[in-house]
Formats: sequence, C-alpha cells, structure tokens
Amino acid sequence: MNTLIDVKDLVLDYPKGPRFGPMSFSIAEKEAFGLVGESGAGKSTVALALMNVLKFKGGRKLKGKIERHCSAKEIAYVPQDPAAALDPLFTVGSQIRELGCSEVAILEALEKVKLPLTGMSLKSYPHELSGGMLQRLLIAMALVRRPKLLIADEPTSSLDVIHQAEIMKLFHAVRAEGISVLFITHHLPLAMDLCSRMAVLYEGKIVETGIPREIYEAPRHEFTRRLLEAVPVLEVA
Amino acid sequence: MKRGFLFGVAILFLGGLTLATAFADRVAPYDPNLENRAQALHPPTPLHFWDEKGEFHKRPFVYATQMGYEANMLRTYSQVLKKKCFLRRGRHAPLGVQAPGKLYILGTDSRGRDIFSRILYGARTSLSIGILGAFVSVAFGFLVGALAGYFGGWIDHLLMRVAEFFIMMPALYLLLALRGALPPTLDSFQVYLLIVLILSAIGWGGVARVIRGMVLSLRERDFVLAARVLGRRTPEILFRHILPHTYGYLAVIVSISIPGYIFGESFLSVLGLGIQEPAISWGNLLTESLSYSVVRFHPWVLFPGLFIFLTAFCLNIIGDALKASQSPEDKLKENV
Amino acid sequence: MSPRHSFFNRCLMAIPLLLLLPLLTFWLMHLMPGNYFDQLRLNPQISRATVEQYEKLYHLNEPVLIQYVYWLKQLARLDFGYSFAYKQPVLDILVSRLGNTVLLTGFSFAWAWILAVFLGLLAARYPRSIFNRLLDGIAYAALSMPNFFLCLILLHLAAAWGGLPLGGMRSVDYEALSASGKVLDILSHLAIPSFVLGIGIFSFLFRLMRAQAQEVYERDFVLYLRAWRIPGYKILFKHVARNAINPLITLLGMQLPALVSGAALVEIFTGWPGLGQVMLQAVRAQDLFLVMGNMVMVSALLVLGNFLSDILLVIVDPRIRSGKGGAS
Repeated sequence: MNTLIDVKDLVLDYPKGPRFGPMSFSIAEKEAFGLVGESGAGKSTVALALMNVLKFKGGRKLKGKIERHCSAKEIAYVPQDPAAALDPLFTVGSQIRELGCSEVAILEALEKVKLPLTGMSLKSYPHELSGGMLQRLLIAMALVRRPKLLIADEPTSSLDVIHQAEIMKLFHAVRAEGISVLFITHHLPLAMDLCSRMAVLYEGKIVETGIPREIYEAPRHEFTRRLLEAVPVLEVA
Repeated sequence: MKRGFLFGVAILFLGGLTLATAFADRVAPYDPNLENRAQALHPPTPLHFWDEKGEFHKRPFVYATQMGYEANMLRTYSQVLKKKCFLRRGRHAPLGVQAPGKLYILGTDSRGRDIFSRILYGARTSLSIGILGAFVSVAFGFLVGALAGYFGGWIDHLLMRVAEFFIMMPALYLLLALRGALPPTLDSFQVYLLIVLILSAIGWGGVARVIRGMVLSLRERDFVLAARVLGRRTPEILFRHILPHTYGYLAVIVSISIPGYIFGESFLSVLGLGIQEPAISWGNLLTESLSYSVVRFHPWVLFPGLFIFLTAFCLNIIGDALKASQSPEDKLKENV
Repeated sequence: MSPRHSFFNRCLMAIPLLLLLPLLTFWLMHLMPGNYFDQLRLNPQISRATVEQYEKLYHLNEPVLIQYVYWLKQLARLDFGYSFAYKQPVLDILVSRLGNTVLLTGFSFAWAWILAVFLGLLAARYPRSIFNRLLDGIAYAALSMPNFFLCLILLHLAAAWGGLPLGGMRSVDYEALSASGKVLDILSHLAIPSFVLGIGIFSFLFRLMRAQAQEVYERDFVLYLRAWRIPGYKILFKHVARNAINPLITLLGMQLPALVSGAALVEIFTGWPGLGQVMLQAVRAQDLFLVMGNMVMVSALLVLGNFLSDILLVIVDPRIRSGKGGAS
C-alpha cells in the first residue's frame, strides 16, 4: 500500500513554551489512523501543519519533515467546532459551492452524509442549523472534492452521544469507500473502534503506536493505561 | 517608528509647550500686544553663527533689516549685512537681541506683533479651553453613563435618550446658532466660558453611552455579586469596584477629545465668533491667514495652525499609547 | 436589539430632534437683541412705518411662543417663510443648497468609504509593509489636522499653482460649457472641499477597517477557508471584507452628525454653496426664517440618514434578520 503522508521527526518549537515532538508516523492509503491525546497536546497543530496552513506566529517554528505523496487538494479537513467553522454571513450553500465542485458532486456528498438539505435549505445561514447538521455539512464539504485523506479534528467533541454515534457511522462509511482518515481525538474508544492503526500522544510525544488490539491488551505507557481505565463500562445493577 | 520613541517625543513637546506657555511672560521675547507697524509682516529672523565673510561667532546673531517696497507696494525686508545684532538677555526675557535687530522667531503679523510671542500667550487660551472642555464633557458623560448603567430601568432609558439626542444634533449648525445668539458685548472671559460650555454640551453624549455600556456589563460580573452578597452598599460598590475599570478608558478619551475642543475653539475664533481681539487664541491668530494676498507673500502667518496640528498630533499619540497600555479585560472592542 | 425595537427607537428619537431643535434654535435666535430689520431702520430713506409694517407682517414684535406657533403653522403648509436677506422664499434657497450639500457629502463619503475599506483590507493583510505605515501616518496626520486649516493651506496652494478653482461650485462660464465640460467643472470645484471632508472620513474608517479586518483574520473560519484551499484574494475581499465591514455599518448612523458638521465647516471655508455656508450667513444676518428652515432641513436629513443606515444594517447582517442580534 502506498504511503500518503510520512511524518519524520516533526518538532514544533514554541519559544516560551513546550516543545512538541519529535513525532514520527505515517499514514497509508485506505487506512484509518488514530491520533489520541489530551486536549492541548498539540494534535490540532499537527493537523494544521499537515495541511500546510500553520501560521508561524510568535516565534513558533516547525522542524522535521512532512512528506506528502499526494497533492494538497487531495487532503481534506474537518474542523473541530462546526459553529465557528463557517463564515456566518454567507449561506451554507454558497460556501460549499466555493469549493469549486459540480452541483452533482455536491449533492452526492450531501447524500453521503445523509443531510436532508434540499435546494431551499442550502440557502440557510450557519447559525440557523444545528450542531449535528453543521458537522455533517463540514464532512460533506471535506468529501466533495473526493480526497485521498480526510483529517478529522475532534469531530465528535461538540456533539452529544447520539449524534456522536451517527457521525462515527459516517466515518466508517468514508473509510469503506477507500478514503484514508486521520482521526484525531481525545476519546480513546472511538479511535479504537474506527482505526486500523493508532498513536497515543502524551505531553507532545508519541508514547505508543500500533494496532488497537495490541494497545488494548498490552499498553506500554502509563498514560495509555489510564485512558483505558477511564472508559466507563456500562453496569446494570 | 517605534511607539515608545514617538510617545516620548510627544510628551516632550507638550511638556515643553505647557511650560513655555505657563511662563510665557518670561519666555516670550516680546509683548504679544506690542504693535510695530513699521515692521508689519516681517519674516522670521534666522539666527546665524557664520557671518557673510565665513567667520564663526560663538554668540549667534541676527541681521538687522531694512524695509523696502517692491512693485505692488509689497513690503520686503532685506538684511543689512553689515549690522550684526547678537543674542543677549532681553529686557524681560532670556531671549533677545541687540538693537536695532529683532528676534522674530516666527515673524510678525500685519500689525507688527511678534507671532511667536502671540502663539505662546494664545496657547494659554486655546490649550485651557481644550483641556477644560474635554474634562467637563467627559466628567458629565461619565456621571450620566455611570448612573444609567448602574441603575438601569427607566433611569437608564431616559438618560440614554437624552444622550442620544445630544449625539444626533448637528453640532456645527447649533454652534453657529448658539454663538450667533449671544450678544456681541460679552467680555472675553464670559465668551471663553460660554465656548467651553457649548462645546462640552455637544460632546458628552458619546462618553455617556460608552460608560453606560461598560458599567452595565461590569455590573453583571461575579465580583459585584460577591460584594452585594457581602452586604456592601451601592455607592461603595460603584466607586470601589466598578468604576475603577473605566478609568483607563476615561484617560484615553480625555486625551483624544482635547484636540477636538481646540479645533472647535479655533474654528469659532477664525470666523470671529469665538475669542475676540484683544484676547489671543490660536484661532484668532489665524484670521490673518484668511486673506490670500497675505499668505501668498507672508506664509509665516500660518504658524499658529502648525502649532494646533502638532499639539493635536501629540495628544493623539498619547491617547493611543494610553489605549495600548490598558489591561486586556478593560479594553474596549470598538475603536474609541 | 431586534430591528423592530431599534426602528421604534429611531422613530422616538426623530420626534424630539425634529421638534426640539427648531424650538431651541428659535429661542436662540430671539436671544439676539434686535432683528434683521434693524439695518433697515438705520437707513434714513426707509420710513419707520415701513419697518414696522414689515415687523408686523412677520409677527416679529410678538412674544416668542406666539411667533413659534405662527411658524409651525406655516411649516405645516410646507411654507418655510421668507428670507429677509435673499429676498426669496426660504424653501427655494434651501432646496438649491440642499442638493449641493448632498452632492459634496455623498461624493466625499463615497470615495472615502471605498478607499478606506479597500486599503484597510490590504493593510490588515500586510501590516508590516511600507504601504501600511505610510497610510497609517497619513491617517494620523489627517486626524490631527484641523479641517479648516487644511482647507486654508490647500486653497493657498491651489491659488499659487493656479490649477484649481478657489471656491464656489461653478465657474462663471459654466452655462457655456459642454455637458462633459460642466461635469469636469463641478468636479474641479469639488476637489478641495471633497478632499478635506473625505480625508477625515477616510482616516477614521481606514483605521477601523484595518483593526476589524485584523480581528476577523484571527478567527477560526478564516483558518479553515485556507485549509480548504480557497484562494487568498477571495478570502480577503469576500469573507474578511464582509465580516469586517459589519461594525462600520453599525457606526454609520453615528457618523452622520459628524459628517454633516464637517461638511458645513468645509463649505464655509471653501465657499461651497451648501446648507452650512448658508447657515453662517443667515445667522450673521439674523435672517430668522432662513436659519429656522435650515435647522429643520438639516435635522430631517439626519433623521433620514439614520433610517437608511438602519435599513442597510438589517440587509447586511443576516443574524439580525432572524433576531439573533449582534453585529460582531
């Protein structure tokens, strides 16, 4: 299988603060890769760096290599907070059309995410749609260009449990279509459910990599163990 | 340009100007009302260190001048190269030159009065109107805004409607009508006070609105709730807890407003509706510059305007610096 | 505030403005001792009887309130009275001047706004460029310069250069010019007044727009637009522009009184024949009805302007439309 992205010794240097990395991992075609870690561990920053939209403000520096074996347009991004992700002053429809794909492709993508948006509702504004709908819309916007890699940055963090499940079903479907997924989350079970390979991030360093089963049965790092223990198990009295 | 550097320059200029103005009787080389028709519209007299033969003199000097006429009865002054008049202690000022030379730093006006001296004395009026006007309007707006914001309800509604009314007024038109309505026989001091009052009346509304907004949002904050729970009384809550957060904004708005009041006064005075002769203000110093023929050949009559500009510039710099130094939580989002 | 609420507020504000201001002005005009006809009295050729006749005609000898009522009654018939100084009905004078003031104000406002928005966006995008520093300096200087002084300097420069006319709105030979010649003529007369008026507006708006655009640039959705590979110019001139401009439009209503006053000042100093210039002359001449009519007209202009800006705000911000309120 071809490698889509190869990250080698990626280091994020903040002049006043912590260092993230060095991190190394690779994502292959048609695979779902999970990046698990606490909020603030630098996961989003890594994602942005992969997309090459990281701004080097405040002396922030990037070292190491990111090798991309696909074009920039073949990487899609699903942001974390759907409400803040869209321009509030333009209709949803106009924003999805800005991506430059045909109407057919747009409708296809919308169908895939099971968004009941007809021509009329594409005229609504972001603040008129619910969080769940927005999240699905964002995924549709990511899919509409037929990407090879989909980077999902905490896609379920702002949703309630039921919506979470629905979104996860979507990601499974995406993966089934052969699109690679980089699944970033702080919720270990979700990643384990979806991904074929995972990396655990703790204090900016990768402390664990491997397939979910291995990690589950034999966690190497204290942090991983704690994450596993923190998963609530349903007990009926 | 570095912010800090500009700020320093601004403080220096304003400080120097204020000092010179306060001690105008010692600093100004000439009596501001001393007319000298023989030397009307005299250009500024440059100080020299080297004379026409290339010799250097430690004491700077000016050349005496002789008046002549060009075609069109235009006065010109040519330097008499033979006569050097050295800098020396004036009769009542540290600056002066030997007779018959004159030290007209910025030239003279059509009645032969030294412009620089007049600017210094005029600064007293103009600057004080600016400061006073700014203070009165900001104080009043602050009061109204604080009350409206804290008590809310109908008080707030009423006060804000009044403030909005004042904001919406077409200031200049009203100013003209107001000023025109006053009898021409008021003495200078009364005119002065009236101008301050009229200008302030126009300006307080905006301040009131902003302060009211600030107090309104501050009122809902936890520390106020805590104070109330602890049984603190209203005035104490207001003065010790809420209002200090507004002081930063007040400082900014005062320094930014002062130029506006100086402009207002000079505008009125240029038109003859403000400070009248023989009182001096930067505005009425500029009445000379209304005439094209005067300015064309004697552009130094425009200097008072330059001083207005520089003062406003420095005040704006200071205002900006104050704004930048506010703590982030007290910072206002909109442009002040 | 929902649009209906603020609309209602505006209506409320319009009433005192339109009523109180003229009343205030009326009272002020009567504080001045004497009246316009004092000049006539001094003229030995005009008999006292004639002067008194005039005064009676215009009710000038009666108590202030009664005069005001007479004036209101006239106003209800859209009769603004008669100008003593110009010997014409006030309405005629005002209407011709109104157009001039609107032309000056509108023109200056238009170019200042367009330039400020465009340059403000660019300056926000490239904050460390020389271009930004230069504009900043110009804006700063313009805000520190007294309007009338700038007028004077420009007029003197223009006189020395000889390229631009020095006041008024039309050249003497205006009627003889071709259509395009006429347009050019008016434009050349507009140059100085419009520049002085506009540069103040520009400076204020430029800095505001730049600050707003910088703030919008920091927002999440702009980051995501870049992640979606939307081209930079589109991001700047479509998304950032629309989002940044909201507060400026909110402030539109607040800018109007300053705009009107500024226009009057410029008119006075450049001789542009508008409402402001007329106001000064009317006050000086104690031309009562002209002053009153002028006040009413200017107040009406302000109220209208505010309504328009409110409507504009509703159109521009979809969040207000659905009642969720809140410009940024």
